[in-house]
Amino acid sequence: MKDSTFSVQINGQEYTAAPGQTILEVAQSNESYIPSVCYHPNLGTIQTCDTCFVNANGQLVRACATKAEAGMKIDSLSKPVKDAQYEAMSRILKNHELYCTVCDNNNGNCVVHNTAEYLEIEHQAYAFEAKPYPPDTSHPFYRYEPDQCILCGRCVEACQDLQVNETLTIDWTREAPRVIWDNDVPIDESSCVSCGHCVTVCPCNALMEKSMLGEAGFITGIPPKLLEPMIDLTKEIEPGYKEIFAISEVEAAMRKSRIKRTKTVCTYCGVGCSFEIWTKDRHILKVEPQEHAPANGISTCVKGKWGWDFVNSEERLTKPLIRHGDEFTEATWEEALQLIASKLTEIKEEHGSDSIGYIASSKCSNEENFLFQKLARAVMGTNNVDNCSRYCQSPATAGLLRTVGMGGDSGTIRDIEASDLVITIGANPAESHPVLATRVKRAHKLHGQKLIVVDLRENELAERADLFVHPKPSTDLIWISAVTKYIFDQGWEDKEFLNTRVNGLDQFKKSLEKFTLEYAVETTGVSRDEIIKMATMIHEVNSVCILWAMGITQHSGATDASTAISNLLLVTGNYGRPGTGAYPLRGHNNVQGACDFGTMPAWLPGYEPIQDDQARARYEAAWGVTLPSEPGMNNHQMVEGIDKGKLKALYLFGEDMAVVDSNINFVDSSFEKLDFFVVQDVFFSKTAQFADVVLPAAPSLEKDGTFVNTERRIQRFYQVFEPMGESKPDWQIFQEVANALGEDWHYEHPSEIMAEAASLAPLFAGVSYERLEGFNSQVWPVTKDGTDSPLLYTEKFAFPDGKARLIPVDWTKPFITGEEYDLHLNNGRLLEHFHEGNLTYRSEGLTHKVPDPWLEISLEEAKKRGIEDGALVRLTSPYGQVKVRAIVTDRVTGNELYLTMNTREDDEMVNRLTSSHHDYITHTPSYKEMSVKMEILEDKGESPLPKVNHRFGNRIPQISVRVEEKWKREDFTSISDLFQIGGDEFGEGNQAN
Amino acid sequence: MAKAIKQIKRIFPTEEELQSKTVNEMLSTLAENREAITTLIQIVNQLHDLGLLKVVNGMLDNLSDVGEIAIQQINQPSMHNTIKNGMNAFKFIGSIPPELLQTFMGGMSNGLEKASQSLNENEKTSLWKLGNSIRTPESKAALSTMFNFLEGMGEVFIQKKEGQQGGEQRWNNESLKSRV
Repeated sequence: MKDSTFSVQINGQEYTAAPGQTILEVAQSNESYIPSVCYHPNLGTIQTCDTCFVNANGQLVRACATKAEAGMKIDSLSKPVKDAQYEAMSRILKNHELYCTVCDNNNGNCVVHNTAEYLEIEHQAYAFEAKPYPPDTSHPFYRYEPDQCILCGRCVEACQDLQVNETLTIDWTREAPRVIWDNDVPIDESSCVSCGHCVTVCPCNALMEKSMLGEAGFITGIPPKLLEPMIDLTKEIEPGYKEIFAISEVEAAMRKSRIKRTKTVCTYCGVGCSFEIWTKDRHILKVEPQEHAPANGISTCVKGKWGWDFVNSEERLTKPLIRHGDEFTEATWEEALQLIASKLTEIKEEHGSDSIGYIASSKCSNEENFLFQKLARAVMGTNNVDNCSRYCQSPATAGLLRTVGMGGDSGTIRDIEASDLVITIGANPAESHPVLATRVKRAHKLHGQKLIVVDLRENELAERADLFVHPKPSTDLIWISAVTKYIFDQGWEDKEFLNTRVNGLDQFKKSLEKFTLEYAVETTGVSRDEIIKMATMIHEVNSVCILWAMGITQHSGATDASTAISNLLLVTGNYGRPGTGAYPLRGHNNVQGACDFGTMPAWLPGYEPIQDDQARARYEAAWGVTLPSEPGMNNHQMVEGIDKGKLKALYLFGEDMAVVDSNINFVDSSFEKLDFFVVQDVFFSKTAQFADVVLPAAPSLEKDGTFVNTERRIQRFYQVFEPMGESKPDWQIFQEVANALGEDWHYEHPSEIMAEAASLAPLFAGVSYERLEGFNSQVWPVTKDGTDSPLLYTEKFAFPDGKARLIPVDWTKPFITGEEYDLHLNNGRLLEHFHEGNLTYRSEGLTHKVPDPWLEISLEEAKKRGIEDGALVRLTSPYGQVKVRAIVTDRVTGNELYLTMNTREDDEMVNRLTSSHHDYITHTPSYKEMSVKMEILEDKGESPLPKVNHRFGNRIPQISVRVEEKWKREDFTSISDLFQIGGDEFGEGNQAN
Repeated sequence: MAKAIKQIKRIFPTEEELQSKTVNEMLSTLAENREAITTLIQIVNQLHDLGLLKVVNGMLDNLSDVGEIAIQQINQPSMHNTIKNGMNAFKFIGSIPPELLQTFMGGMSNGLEKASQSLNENEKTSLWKLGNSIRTPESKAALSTMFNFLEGMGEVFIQKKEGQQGGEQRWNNESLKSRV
């Protein structure tokens, strides 16, 4: 690549350029400044603002839209060029009043302010004209002020082509153009998913976070009655903008001392978005994403951008609680710790180390998980430690460990973006991994990426897919194997790859014999054409990524189905190259890290088996103890163990198991049987109701630490606030518990815990807080010198001989509920809430968008049963009942239902209905294998989903902002044309030759 | 057996406990800053004696209304001029090189002295003598400086006139030249 670079001259300086780069990109990558307002590195060229005009080889051109050429001479500073830029900026200011000092966006990063200042705008060339539209303040989180809108179209570009929600457009046909939502409806009633992209990219104050308004500046809280005449006065005097800028810069500098900007990592899914969070005391001003954030750039979703109110909720736990009879009473930390130490010691002495279980949190940090497994193993002498990956991706991890050798995504989001063909199976990334989904949607919309979606529901990606396939529930292994067999039958397998890099081919091929097209069509309901089409699409492209989630893993044969996916990728050579690989999408912010750092019954940190004597010896030497060598109980076995009287006590943190485990009626009754139960959480959760001691924990914004996202990317987050009340970071609590149990731990900071983990687990040898400073990240495995591994298996697979393994697998029949249960029950997360909503329901805005859970029922089933939107129904399974309101929708078909899980009400929780059946290898519950019967309590009622929800909106898809329509307007004169007109007026031809 | 319970008995400090805690904290702050606080009280006393505190109190009570009246008063054409002129005056002073101003001011003060001398002497000056005195190097220097000053002023006046006629298109001509 390096050979093909060439050099250009900008203002007499030589710069290196790469093919395909625009002039503006060359300038920016060499830190040479060319003004630009509408251009944004994450969005690309928009061409609306005209401030980037330069003279390139004698032509007046837009730097953002003109490709650099070898030897090009570019001038951005000469008088004529600056005059053209000045004219462009003057046009912008016709749409924008400069009252910077009293503007909440005056924080040193306002693009309009900074560009106007650079161009030395002194006076308004064209008088400011207010637009005939009032501000739109209907949305709970942000507002649009048309009067300040410069019509640059950044927001439209972000909505159309980066988030690809396709809500915003600019209506260029009006006398006064403006940004509109859907078909010009109030923002709150549009298809807007509240991802915040538009607000983040707005180069001025037209789109602003409501949490900023009147809060960010020193005098921006002035009431309008006073503010307006003050603006008038400033305009009237008009001392020249230079003076205004001087004052506003002083004010912006003053703001810096009271607005704290802290880098953090989002805790709402496994994508691992990182951003700055701006705070003033405990008030959250806004979430400010950064271009250089490795996983997300400037992208966020509704929860990451807006969902942090829970941190300041009055319902936070702020003191330890101890159960006394039928009530909890507040206690001191000393009392709580003493009680925990004495009870655990007592139970350990009486019933043995293995009579106590430890359940870790995928929401907490790597350091906290590391310390918790150390507490369980080294202090309490048991391997009974597990985390909630048992509820989701354990089967995927197992499937990958046995085929390619590492239990994580095989590449990064960049590979998913770059892939020729993305296949999602049993996943709904647009809601569960929103920012990752935007990358797929963008590649599909703009760059010709192909998309196959296999799911029971026609989710958003399915609507956009080239091929949407709807198999019968729980039959994925069959059609995947049939596709694989068909590829072999056609001779389309990657022979070279199989020969040189894969073991077990013959035996595997033999195992496929039963998966004929006929068999597959009959058992899966997928048509012959669809199977052939999938095989053909895979065959025709150069790179394939397969993404999957709970639709695969929450089944009786989940590990085998995950294995089948990996087998298919191996057969087609789709590993180890950019744009290829297996991507089990991690659901929680640190479910990957919890597993990586050892809160698993059979694994030490870094996936070394607990039975491995050598590995264990390393830890034993470091910790000065003998570790138990046999794998402990997993979550599922622990609950069973309580029921059977084997497990007497449980220490759980950051996991609402009484809501999210399957068959919770059984889980609840088990919890009741515990002799002693410690629950550590930010809120008084459902699970905490069963506890004997409740410890108040501090969330991510109140501590330091690291998380690992779905890409295996380790990222640091920094403390924003002091812990509320007497709550403490989880790692401090573990240390205090360990010390109450007689240890002598003295970690001062999580970095010391990471250093210890890195020194013991070879997988993380080169991980350190210094290398993770700020927005830096490391993708494991990380070698001692700090080299990380974004793309796995480029040279060898993670087995001793470096070769992957094809593993023959067979279909496991799903759990059959029984004939009277005539409706299939599917369930899952949704965009606006995280799980049961313990955190997200503390946000008024999120609750406004989605107040309640709902049941999706198909048009045909609703018709058959005579029910409408809002009907109240009771669902019954052999394990329990729920009472919920329904929505009739074509997202589901036939007798398949879908129940969302965002509820904290006992009689609405989907896991009242699910069973304890599980994947036969990993014990992950078969959440997706349940049928129910329905009883109608009210045949209609108020819809559980309000009309202000994006699902009722009306998208307006288009590419970018359609700047050509602006150029066609009668009142538009192109700046380069103006150039010519001017020439004629002055009686000189502008043609040099 | 531990059934799920929701009842939490919170121990809230009583009103008295909270108050005495706050009072204690305040007392220790006062003790730590004894000198500053005593001075502050003296100042407050003096302001009170002057009746100023009442004025401020009244303004703060009606801050929004007072602010509105004030801004209305400021938002008048004459005030606009005052402010603009004020700012221009500042700009003007800022634009003069200090050495130059010093020379001029020196000249001015010397001139004033001479002028006042002649006033005091009350001597009648004949036209002839006046004509002769113009020939002195001092008078010549002063007069030619004065003429140069007038010329410079005139230049600005003429520029301004032209600027009003064709200012907006000015750059076209120049940029055109650069292209050719």
